[in-house]
Amino acid sequence: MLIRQILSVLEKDLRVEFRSKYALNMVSAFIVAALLLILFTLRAQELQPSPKSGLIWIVVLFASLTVLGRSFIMETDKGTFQTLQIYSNATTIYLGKFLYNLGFSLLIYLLSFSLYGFLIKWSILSYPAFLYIMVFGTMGLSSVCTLIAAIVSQADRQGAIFSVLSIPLFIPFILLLSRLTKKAFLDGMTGWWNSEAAALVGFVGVTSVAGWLLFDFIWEED
Amino acid sequence: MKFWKYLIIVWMSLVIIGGFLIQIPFIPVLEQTARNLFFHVPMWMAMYIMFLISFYHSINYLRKANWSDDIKAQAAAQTGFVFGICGLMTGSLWARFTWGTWWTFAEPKMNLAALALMIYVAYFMLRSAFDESKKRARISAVYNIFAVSTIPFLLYVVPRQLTSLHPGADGNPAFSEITAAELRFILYPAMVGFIALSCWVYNITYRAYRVKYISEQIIRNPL
Repeated sequence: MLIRQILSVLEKDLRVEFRSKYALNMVSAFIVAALLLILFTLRAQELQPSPKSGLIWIVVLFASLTVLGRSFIMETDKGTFQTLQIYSNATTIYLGKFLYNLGFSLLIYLLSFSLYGFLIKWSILSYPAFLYIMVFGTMGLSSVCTLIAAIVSQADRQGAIFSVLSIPLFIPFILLLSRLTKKAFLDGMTGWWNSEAAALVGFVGVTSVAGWLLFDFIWEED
Repeated sequence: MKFWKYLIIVWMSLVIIGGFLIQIPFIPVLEQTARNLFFHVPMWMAMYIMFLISFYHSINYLRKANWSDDIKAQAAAQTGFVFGICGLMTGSLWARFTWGTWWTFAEPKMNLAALALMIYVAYFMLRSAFDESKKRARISAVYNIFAVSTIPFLLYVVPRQLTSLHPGADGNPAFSEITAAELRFILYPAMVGFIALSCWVYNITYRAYRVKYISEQIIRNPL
């Protein structure tokens, strides 16, 4: 029952998105423009491996920040948040939005990594590490963005507050990911499972559970 | 003024005088800057204590919805933030004379501590984005708790995976191995003193917000 409700929230969000394709177009344009600008300005051919793996995650992070907040903030902007409150409960909405954001961040990840691979000479050296980064990277992005978007959707003055609230929380996450990415793409280490990979699971676990539990308090009006 | 506040004045004066006057063992590079240990380290401890108090009151707010918990969380976060800034500044000063630069990106603890303080800047920004006080209290408590859940990664997990110039990392001897007994004689009282001082600052900040909150309520609903 719960699963069907969650999927219907997801379906609703996807339908809204595919009607206009606004977020999709915006994020693709952002990724292309940002990558070209950064790689050209920094002279990508002279870059060392560490900045290369850090840069791509900064692009992915900022691309996510431009769109992942949207689905939640739209609900309060258009006044549909109350409708959801009547027909559904906190867990359903949180998980539905989480899944939608997960799909979207997966798209951002694949789009930016394939474009990055095309623009600079980069190939996947360790497929398990690549998949690992993909799964946990998108989950972390989506868990933090979903809760912060829910917080921002309640604020009276929204503006740039979504990025201000999210960026400091993403710092350990981006640091861990960029070092793992360096291993997956540049060092090609077979022993990629290390303390960084474990810390990444910890980060994703902590933020998704905390987000799920805390969302109840955003949901309830006093 | 309460008795314990006079005690803090005397205690902190003794710590500062003692910190500058005692004989300390001569270590090359560190030399007299070792005295910074008495101020730099206790400031961070005071900051941690204040952030813990803030975290505790945010949880309490979500449980009981008492307006005083929200104000306490805010006051503790602000006090902790001030002590964190002081810790960064004394650290930067120390870095100038031992590592040769005010700021270095080779040092994860320095950078990650500055970034951890940005979380509290975000918390203060979020508080200013609400008009209604109940909603502000509830939502900012949620953010505070969520943000604290990522702080262990920022200040504990990640710094230990990177190379660091701080004591206790990469073959640098740790605090417990190298610190001379004479230094501990001042350091431990300094820790107690700085934590007590932060409690004092927190107490004043809390009372100021309390007065502000009550007067706002009176203006809004006279009688």
